[in-house]
Amino acid sequence: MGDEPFWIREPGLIWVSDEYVYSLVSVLERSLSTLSSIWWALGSVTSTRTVFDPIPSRVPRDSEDQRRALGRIMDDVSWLRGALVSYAQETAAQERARATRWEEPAERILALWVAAVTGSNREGALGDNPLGHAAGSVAQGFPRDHRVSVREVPMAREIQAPPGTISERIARIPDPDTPIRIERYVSDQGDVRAEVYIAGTHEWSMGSSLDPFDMESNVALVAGVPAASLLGVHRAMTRAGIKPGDAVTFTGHSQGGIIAARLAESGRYRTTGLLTVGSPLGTLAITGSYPALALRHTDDLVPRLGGSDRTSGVMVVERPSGAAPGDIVGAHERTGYHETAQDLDSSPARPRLPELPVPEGRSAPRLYVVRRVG
Amino acid sequence: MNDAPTLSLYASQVRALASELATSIPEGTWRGPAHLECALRVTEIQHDLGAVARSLEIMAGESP
Repeated sequence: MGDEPFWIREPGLIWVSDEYVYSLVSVLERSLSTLSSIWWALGSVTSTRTVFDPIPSRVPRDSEDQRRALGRIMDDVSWLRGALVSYAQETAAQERARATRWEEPAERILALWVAAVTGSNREGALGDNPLGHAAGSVAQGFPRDHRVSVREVPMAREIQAPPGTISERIARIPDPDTPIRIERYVSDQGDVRAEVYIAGTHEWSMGSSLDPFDMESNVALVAGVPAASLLGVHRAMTRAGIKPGDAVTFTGHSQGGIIAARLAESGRYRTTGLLTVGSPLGTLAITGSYPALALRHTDDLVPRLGGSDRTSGVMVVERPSGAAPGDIVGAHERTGYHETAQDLDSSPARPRLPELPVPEGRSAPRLYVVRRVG
Repeated sequence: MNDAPTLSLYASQVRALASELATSIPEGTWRGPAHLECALRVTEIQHDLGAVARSLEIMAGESP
């Protein structure tokens, strides 16, 4: 689906446009800045126009003529920029209106139904986070005190360079069999930076298996209550030597993305970046001051399970997956997101998207598995 | 004072902007407003930038 443009939603849903509008506005703003500085500087350039020009049709080359020409161009650039900005803001307003008119009422109806079935209170279903409330209703019977064991998977300790692009990060999200990958970089100055990659749901049962990357954890994460998979990733990070306050960039697919966002927002670490792929982030407010990017396929149902987008500090980039119509598994697969990310890395809008920091040095990745205990 | 180097620098900056604009609007996948009008405006701006760059280059050549 490489011919479909990316749609870019800025944090807080104040801007929605395709990648070309997004990058053109960026180019126009850069043009305005450069032209303005040249316009000012030309004021001090010696005029070279002769009093009598023997060739009247020759291009005027007086510095004042150039300033006037630049002024007209800046007017044109400003007009075009303003028109594009208005368009993107109007599109965002329409998106907000659609969410208010259609998505949120539908979520409230679902939450009321869940509240009726589970016997939980109905006021929360009418609040500003109905799906979170519904998930919380379902999660009422879930254990809050999880016990997990974490084991490092033996592997060849191949030293690798840090990830430089979005697609390189997504390629490093491990298979769900070994759902946690941790890279720890130490610079020449001794600064520690960690990259944590988290896979998605592996087990579709509700807490009955030993694998905590299951549906119970999914619901618990959307509800904002303790989840066994979240605890497992935290334990694996501790096992890898990551301490509270260390700089960490989180990358996660599906359930791994919600875990990544919860850990990024936990305040436990100095979060340096967040990349989620096909994750239901709707109920989570991303409020930290770090670059955050959510990549979604418009035909992937999983991100919608988190509800409509809340006011959040995450920039959302989306595009159809290219999977066959109705292929909901294909639309959600990590491999498909990897291909989408490769296109995003070469998008004209890429320079304006959040830049996740690239750590210095090299690292030997570690893989971990988590199991419920007891 | 010899302004030639400065004027040449400005000319190259203006030319770089014009080149960047030339690839800003795709032919077939644009989802923004009024594709044709935007493309036309961008082309006009690009042309005007080219003319200014050329004039700045001439000024640089004639600078005392």
